[in-house]
Amino acid sequence: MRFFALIRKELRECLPWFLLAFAFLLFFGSISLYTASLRKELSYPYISLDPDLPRLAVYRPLSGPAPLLFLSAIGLGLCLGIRQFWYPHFTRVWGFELHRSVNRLSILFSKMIVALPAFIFSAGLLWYLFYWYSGHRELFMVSPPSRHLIEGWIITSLGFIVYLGTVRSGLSEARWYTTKMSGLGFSIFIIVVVFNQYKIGWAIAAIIAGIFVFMIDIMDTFQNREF
Amino acid sequence: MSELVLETKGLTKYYGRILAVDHLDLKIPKGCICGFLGRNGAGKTTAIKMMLGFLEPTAGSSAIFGCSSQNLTPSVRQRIGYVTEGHRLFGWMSIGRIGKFQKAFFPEQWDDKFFADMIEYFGLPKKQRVKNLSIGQRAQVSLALALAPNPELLIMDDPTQGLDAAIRRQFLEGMIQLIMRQGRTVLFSSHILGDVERVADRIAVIDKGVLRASCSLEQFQKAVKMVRVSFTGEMPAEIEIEGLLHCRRSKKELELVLVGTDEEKIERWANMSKVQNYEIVGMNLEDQFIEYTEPVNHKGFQWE
Amino acid sequence: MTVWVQITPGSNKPIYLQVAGQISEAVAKGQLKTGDKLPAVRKLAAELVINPNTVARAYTILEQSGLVSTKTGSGTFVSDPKMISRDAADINALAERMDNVIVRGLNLGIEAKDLLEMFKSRMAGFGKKEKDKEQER
Repeated sequence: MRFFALIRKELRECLPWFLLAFAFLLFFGSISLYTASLRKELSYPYISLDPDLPRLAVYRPLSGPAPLLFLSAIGLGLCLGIRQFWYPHFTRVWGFELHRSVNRLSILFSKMIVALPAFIFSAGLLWYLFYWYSGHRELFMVSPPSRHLIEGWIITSLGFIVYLGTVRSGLSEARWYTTKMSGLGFSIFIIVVVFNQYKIGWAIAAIIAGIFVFMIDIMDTFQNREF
Repeated sequence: MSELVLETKGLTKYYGRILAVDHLDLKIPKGCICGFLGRNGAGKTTAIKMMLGFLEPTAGSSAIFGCSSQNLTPSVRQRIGYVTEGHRLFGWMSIGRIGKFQKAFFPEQWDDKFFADMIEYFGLPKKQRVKNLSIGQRAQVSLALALAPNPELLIMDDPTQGLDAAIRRQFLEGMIQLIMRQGRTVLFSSHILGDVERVADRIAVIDKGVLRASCSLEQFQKAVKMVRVSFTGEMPAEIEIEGLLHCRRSKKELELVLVGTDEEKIERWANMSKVQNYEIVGMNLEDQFIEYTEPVNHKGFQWE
Repeated sequence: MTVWVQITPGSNKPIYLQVAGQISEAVAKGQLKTGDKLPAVRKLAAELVINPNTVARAYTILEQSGLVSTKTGSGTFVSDPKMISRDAADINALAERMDNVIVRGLNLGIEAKDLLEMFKSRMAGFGKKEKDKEQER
């Protein structure tokens, strides 16, 4: 009962951000896909004459929405992280939030349990819809390969990594000009590592490792930090 | 001594090189209203935060209901009501909603009718959002939220700061109502000594991080005395009397502030020092507090 | 409603002494007669918005001086003045207090007869009790 009260409260606080990210990606992503489907000349595969490029190049329908997905996921990560872990500091409600008849980690988990589905629905699900839509042969000559779906989900989870970085920075007690932003810095590091991987397996491994490191650090900080 | 609800042992907090709380040994027995007094920056909020497990002490320990402050279990937290400094609450919630939120954490203890009655008594609309309330109204909501679960220990950090007299009175009434129930204890820090004098039966005085007094209000009021002395001849250069805190000279008179010196000793000193006339001047709590926390050469006095 | 007890926080007198003092005065003025029941500790504390222990302390002081007596379960009642046991020490203490007042008055330059007049007019303020006594006879 207590945990549900926490979840309800977090959900209500984060809902505007889910909806914003969802609306943003839906609107601009749809426009991007639609305009791409109208430009027929891009829909056909073309033969490359340049000896350095691969012989058969294929247009990727999802390359329009992909940067939008990245923006949306990162934005969502920042907004949720700030709303849940920076805002209580500025409004000085940590005292009221934390003096609860629950374990302190329950309060942390209630926040994260609400943030995680945000990425799944606002970004991951929408990406699947774009993928499915651009698979319609009437719109594009070549459907996107399933790899692009996975890549999209990897980008979505980078948003979650940024969320964790924002959380960690929010919990840091250091001054902003010293090590406070190291959480976000680590997120950027993970992003760079992931983008440099050719094999999807390594990208996923990097993300899992990043989440693992963040979770251990965040749980420890939340238990021991001074509020 | 009756059962202790809250006990600190050598509680110390350093912020870098600044000593905020210096080896605090505070004992609060069950059933009292303890006024936690101190000047601005004396260390009251820091001490309270350590007691509630929001700050880690540099040294020493603190326990509430026998449970260590650094590891307050959910069941212990359920017995403690806490009114934060500034009455900060979730701005987006309506009064009714925040009542429901708070209720979820006190399933057996929450008194719905009491909460509703209090909100009605304060004249607050249930649908009003907290962010649209004035600080006084927020304080009223904060009080209702803290009292409705009928806590065994109510801790309030400067609850009436910046509030008008009517709302301050409501806080005092709330404290009195709570204390009349069996086994309840209140700890509140305050600058308004008139309020403390009304409702507290114990006081704890903290000055620059040091606990200078922890006793019943009556003991403190009896202990701090001001004596005006006039001499027949010349005033002595050195005044030696037990418990001397301050000594002020004017042309004809000496004004002494004494702590813990009983009337017999004053009389004996007066006779020895060839005093023409002396008078023990009445002081109110505010005067006593100010005199007691004025900087002085020697450390304060502690007694139980 | 207990109008005859009003406390002033911030005065030089501790609150429990104020309460005790005002009840004593009310008894002396006849506002509280023998056998009257004092308000319950909790009721008075809630009304005055002071700690119940403070009220209890005041009642204890009054009981020690013999002005009131507590019957467990029933409450605290104003004692019959004739039943108050006063010994020589009490009378001496009272005499000493009177001496202090007289010394003060004389030191202020007030003449003895004026001082007596002042005393009489102050006594008139407690006159109701005198009238009650006359009516009793």
